[in-house]
Amino acid sequence: MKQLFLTPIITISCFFSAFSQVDTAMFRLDEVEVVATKAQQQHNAKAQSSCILEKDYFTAQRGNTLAQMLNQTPGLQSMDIGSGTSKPAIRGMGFNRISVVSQGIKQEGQQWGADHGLEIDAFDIDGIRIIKGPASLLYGGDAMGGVIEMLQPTIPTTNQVFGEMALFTKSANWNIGASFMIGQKINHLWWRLRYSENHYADLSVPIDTINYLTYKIPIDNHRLKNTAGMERDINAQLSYINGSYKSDYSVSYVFQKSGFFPGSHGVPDLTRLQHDGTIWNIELPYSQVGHLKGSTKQRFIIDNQTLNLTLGYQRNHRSEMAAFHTHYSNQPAPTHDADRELDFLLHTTSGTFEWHIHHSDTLKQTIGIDAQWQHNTIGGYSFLLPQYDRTTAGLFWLVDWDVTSKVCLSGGLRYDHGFFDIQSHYDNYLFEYLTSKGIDLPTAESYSWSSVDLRRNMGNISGSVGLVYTHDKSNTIKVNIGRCFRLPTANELASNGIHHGAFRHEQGNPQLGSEKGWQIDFSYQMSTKWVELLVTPFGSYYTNYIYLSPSGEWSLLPHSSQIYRYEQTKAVFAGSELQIMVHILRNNTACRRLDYNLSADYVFTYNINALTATPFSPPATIRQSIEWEIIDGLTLTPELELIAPQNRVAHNELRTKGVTLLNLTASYSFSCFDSKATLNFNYKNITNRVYFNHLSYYRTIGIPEPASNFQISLTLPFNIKTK
Amino acid sequence: MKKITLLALITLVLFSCKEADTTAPKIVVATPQQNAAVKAGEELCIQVTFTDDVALNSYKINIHPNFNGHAHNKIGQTSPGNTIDFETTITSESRNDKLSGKECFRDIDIDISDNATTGKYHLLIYCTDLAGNEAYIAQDFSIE
Repeated sequence: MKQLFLTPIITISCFFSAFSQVDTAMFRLDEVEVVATKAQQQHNAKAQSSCILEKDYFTAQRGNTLAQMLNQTPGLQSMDIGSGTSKPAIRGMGFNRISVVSQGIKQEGQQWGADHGLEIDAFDIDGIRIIKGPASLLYGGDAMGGVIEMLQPTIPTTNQVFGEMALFTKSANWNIGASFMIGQKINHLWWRLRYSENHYADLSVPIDTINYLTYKIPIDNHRLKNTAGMERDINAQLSYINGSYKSDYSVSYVFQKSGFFPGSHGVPDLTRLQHDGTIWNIELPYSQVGHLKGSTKQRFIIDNQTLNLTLGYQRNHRSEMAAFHTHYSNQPAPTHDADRELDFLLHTTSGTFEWHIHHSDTLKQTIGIDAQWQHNTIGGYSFLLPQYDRTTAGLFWLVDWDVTSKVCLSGGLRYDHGFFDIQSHYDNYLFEYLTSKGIDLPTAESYSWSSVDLRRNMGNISGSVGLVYTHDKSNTIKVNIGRCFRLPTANELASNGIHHGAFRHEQGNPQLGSEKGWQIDFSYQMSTKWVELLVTPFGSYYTNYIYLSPSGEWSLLPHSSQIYRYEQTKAVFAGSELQIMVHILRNNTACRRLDYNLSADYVFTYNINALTATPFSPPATIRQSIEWEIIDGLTLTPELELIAPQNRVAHNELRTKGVTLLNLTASYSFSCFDSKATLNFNYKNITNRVYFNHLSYYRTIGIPEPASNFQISLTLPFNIKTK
Repeated sequence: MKKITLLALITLVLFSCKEADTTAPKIVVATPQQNAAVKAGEELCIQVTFTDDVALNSYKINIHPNFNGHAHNKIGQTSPGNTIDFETTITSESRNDKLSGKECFRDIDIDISDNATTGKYHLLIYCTDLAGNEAYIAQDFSIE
């Protein structure tokens, strides 16, 4: 508890001590050469707390999932399902509360599910912009907690053939991955093709027994049975640039298949948990998902105006496979595809039109419209999410005004309208089961409607206003106030039944309105020859935060405890991230470079109705590392990672103890065909600590994170100039 | 100075927030023991102690067949020999027996019907406290 109080106080005191240092130090600094990419320049002008992660950041962490890579950035967390799949969270918000934008369009899968990962090729990253906090203004609802935007590749100006081969292996689950990319720039055309493949075995865990519900579950050879998986991705991109016209086309397909530990699905049966002789097989239960995505972006520049049109289509097909099982004697096994427990097929078509007007060097305006249509169909012998159609459309206006050379104002307004059409679903087997148990007809009926027919319209206004004050080259302050919203999801509105992952009776609420909130965030950035500092405190207040509330009423469904109902509450989120980099040595006789890095984050969440934290609140984390470039290209980075205990939990969420981890990274960069090749070695959890990730799907059944493990990756690019 | 006051105020507000009880109750089963056996037509004696750090609320006990390694694909079927797959649920509410205080002991006998199909069964015991925290345990037993 003490640590809980100390962390924000330390963060805040760091904030003030940083300010006091600035007062005395900032006027006697030498001039610093600032090298920034185009993306960084754009992002520096935005008032909202955001950051850009360059391609090198991801190359250094190859072998992790995208969310695990982002986890190294303060304010971001990874919600893992085993070691092979995960999805990101920002400042304690995940699922449908954040948006991932890839190939210019919002990634749409079944991101509401705790056991669903993110369908994006982690090899295919050219850089990422992260917006922490509400971004409904730019990206519509769902971007309430923030945005992870995959940046478009920089197209070279000269003709060339380029490519990349990347390989990695990871000991925690004997993950082996490879990716091959080839592309060409020829006059006005640019194209790129990438193929990636990734296979992993059962996850290695540092325990031999799990104690779960009075059962002692043996873990043979420290391998978590049936957590193996694979991924196969293909991605093709084409761009045409001719003066003021540019068009981009991209098509990608991501296929993932991953097994579930059978002990995590209901009451464990020890006979199903015995070692089956191989660690590479994927048996039932498992999930598989195929995500097809195609998009095009057309850009026209006419004098001082730019027109952008982005169109996209996505097809996300997820299947949860489990040996046919039922609690109802009258339910026969399906004659075809008998083990398909759940099936979701989500089609998303989206379009955005933006009209940028550059009135002058100091004043820019953007007017745009944005629309999305979704159609979700379902299948399988079980039920979790209803069939639905969702249409959203938004109209937005943004302005950027450099008032003086030091003060920049930005802001905008947006109106969105959403329409839901949810189909009902009636479970006759359940009705017969309940009436055979003597349950009265009205009650049995109410249980048997697994979803209700529902048509809802919701309109929302979002907006933001922000200020960037650039005191001098070294000091920048940003303040932003934003209004955000999120439409409820179909399961929050209409589902009624056992959630097969959480094993509890969850009941949707057709009366739910949009989640709405306000956020204020600050950012102070200082950059001197020796020290770089970034501190980003924030506070949010939500008036209609949607959460699952335990009702205290026993459910009549087999294998379920009390009913959990979706309700809305007022909620508060507050916290800060802190990043400090100290350049200790430069071009010294002992080494090329020696830097000290510190990054920390903390978020306090509070559900005002339940008087608890909100679920999946990440623990405070402090990372410290020394980056030591011994000779040109060879860098050694020992890292100390302090994860605080998380004792502030929602009802029926487990507390998680803190841990101190020691990690080591060795990286060697060398020149290869006019490009920078990189060999990386990461040694994680060197001291072999047994610890838990508070946000892991397997946390609830007491499965810890991997013991000491290593990963090795090699990235070999090439670049051949052509005429 | 204003900034310091404002941030100190925010910190004060945040940490003066009232926190609800989020500690789950505990269930300790004295009988039956794991993998116990009971004869059809006799009673299954359940002796259980519920504890909570603040205040207990309610319990639910469920017995259902587990014939096929929890595949559940036979439940409720009338088995050969005119036996019935045994399934029953009792709750605090159905027995008018709400829990209260920090510790409650219950001695509950469940009649296993004469014609219950023999085989493996699950015993599930759930418990909630007043704040909505819950606990549950699962045990194997068999009807002979």
